[in-house]
Amino acid sequence: MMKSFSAKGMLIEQHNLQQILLRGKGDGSFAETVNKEVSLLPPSDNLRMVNNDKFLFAKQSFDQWSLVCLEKQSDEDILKLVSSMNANEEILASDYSYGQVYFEITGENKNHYLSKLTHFDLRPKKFPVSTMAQTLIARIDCSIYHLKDKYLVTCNSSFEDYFKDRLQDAIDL
Amino acid sequence: MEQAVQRESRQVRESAGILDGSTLGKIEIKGKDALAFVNLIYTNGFTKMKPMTARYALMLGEDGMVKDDGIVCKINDQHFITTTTTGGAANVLAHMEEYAQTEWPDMNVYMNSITEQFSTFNISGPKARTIMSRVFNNVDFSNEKFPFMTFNNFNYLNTKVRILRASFTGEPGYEIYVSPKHALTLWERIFYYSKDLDLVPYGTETMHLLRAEKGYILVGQDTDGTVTPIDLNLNWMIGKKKKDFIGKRSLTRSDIISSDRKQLVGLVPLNKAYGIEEGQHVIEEKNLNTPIKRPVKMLGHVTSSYFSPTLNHSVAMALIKGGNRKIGSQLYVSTSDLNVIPVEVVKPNFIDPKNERLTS
Repeated sequence: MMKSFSAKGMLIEQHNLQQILLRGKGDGSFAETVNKEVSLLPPSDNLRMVNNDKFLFAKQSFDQWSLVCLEKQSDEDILKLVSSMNANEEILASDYSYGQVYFEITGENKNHYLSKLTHFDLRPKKFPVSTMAQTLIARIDCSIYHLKDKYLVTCNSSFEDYFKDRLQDAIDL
Repeated sequence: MEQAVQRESRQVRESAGILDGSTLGKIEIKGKDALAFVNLIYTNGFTKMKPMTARYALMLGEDGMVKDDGIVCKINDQHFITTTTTGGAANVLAHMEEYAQTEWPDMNVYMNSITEQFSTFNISGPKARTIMSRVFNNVDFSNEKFPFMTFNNFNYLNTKVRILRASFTGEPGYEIYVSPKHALTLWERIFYYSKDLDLVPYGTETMHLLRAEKGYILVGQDTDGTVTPIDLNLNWMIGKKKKDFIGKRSLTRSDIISSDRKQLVGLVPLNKAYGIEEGQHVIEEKNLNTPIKRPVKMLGHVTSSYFSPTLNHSVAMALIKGGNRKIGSQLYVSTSDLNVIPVEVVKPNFIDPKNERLTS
């Protein structure tokens, strides 16, 4: 874990989380495979997510899901997990670890700063806990996962430095 | 930069070079209908292709024009990994998604972009096999065990790497796909084991020169959205027995198969001291009067041109009207100072036309 930076009422920490991107029908067979591997039942509604201590599982669209490992797994375990998921011939699981960067954003002023960078409505009534959004922050594609008291923001690692700079801008402005 | 390109090109042909090809698009395709899907998306036939082999593939638009190219790796009939051009990666994925969702919604097939999930190193040159054998010392890279256009996964650095034997330079070559987390370590190891082998890191400019020497096209440079596989003499890439693929119908239209269309040819200056400029017109007239007072019949234009350090003269590719019929004849290429250079029209393959080096 690498502490990034903080501002009044906000703390941003960068994590190297592992992620698997899944495609599939989301039917019974899909749910069974996911539940067997990560002990979570896939949400049926789009942009909803479920999590336990180890994993976060979000439905990004009608046939796309994202599995984020909240606890560090060995690379071998991730490859095994991908392989197990892919054993179901109607699922495509791709290892997205390390191609993405993750920022854990906490603090009571997180909405204040992030709202400077996105048109997305972060108010709790529009963006409740256990939902996710695929939107733009500072004009780059991001996913925001709303956990109990924090956001997990992820974008392609090629945008890492740019994204950090824009977060710093949001604090400085 | 020109000097660096010449030096690097020579070094790749004489010893070995390594290119960071991570920007190339990569798409993973899986599902019960993956084979049928790939057969429809690309012109080539993949049905008889053996698992763990790869094939250079062309993607057309509905108009039959070349849209993108890449290498299709077949893990099995339900699972493929394809590469795309760097600039075309997002469009190709969107193109596949659009057809999967709107034209063939009953197909069970899914695709993920894995471009950023793998770093890619392309090692090529006569010493490439020696380098690979030293870095991956438990892998047999002999022609018998690891033939051209095959691939396999290997455990390395506590992760899996995928090695594909393919080449965009005309030299024996290997593409290594590795997680970005392990890429720097692998890069350093490759150089550690190549200290005595004169390995050179080279960039895209050098890659462009090397592929042009071999006559390999670059989509977007040698094509411009108005070029068919037939124009490129890539008829062999069209699956003749395939029931259908995107663009198939257009390839039967009389205008598309006309022998008068612009076709890709090679150009070599008659006076080897001259260089050919990219973008210049190819004409039949020996003299251009300046100022030009009457229309000059333009046959086409130069799409790629480089000074080949291996051949010690310029080589160029051009799209010209009825090009195939003009092979062996003499034409002229305009210059930016309104002169012309006499050139010989040749087949666009300047080095190792029998692919002996490539498959050695």
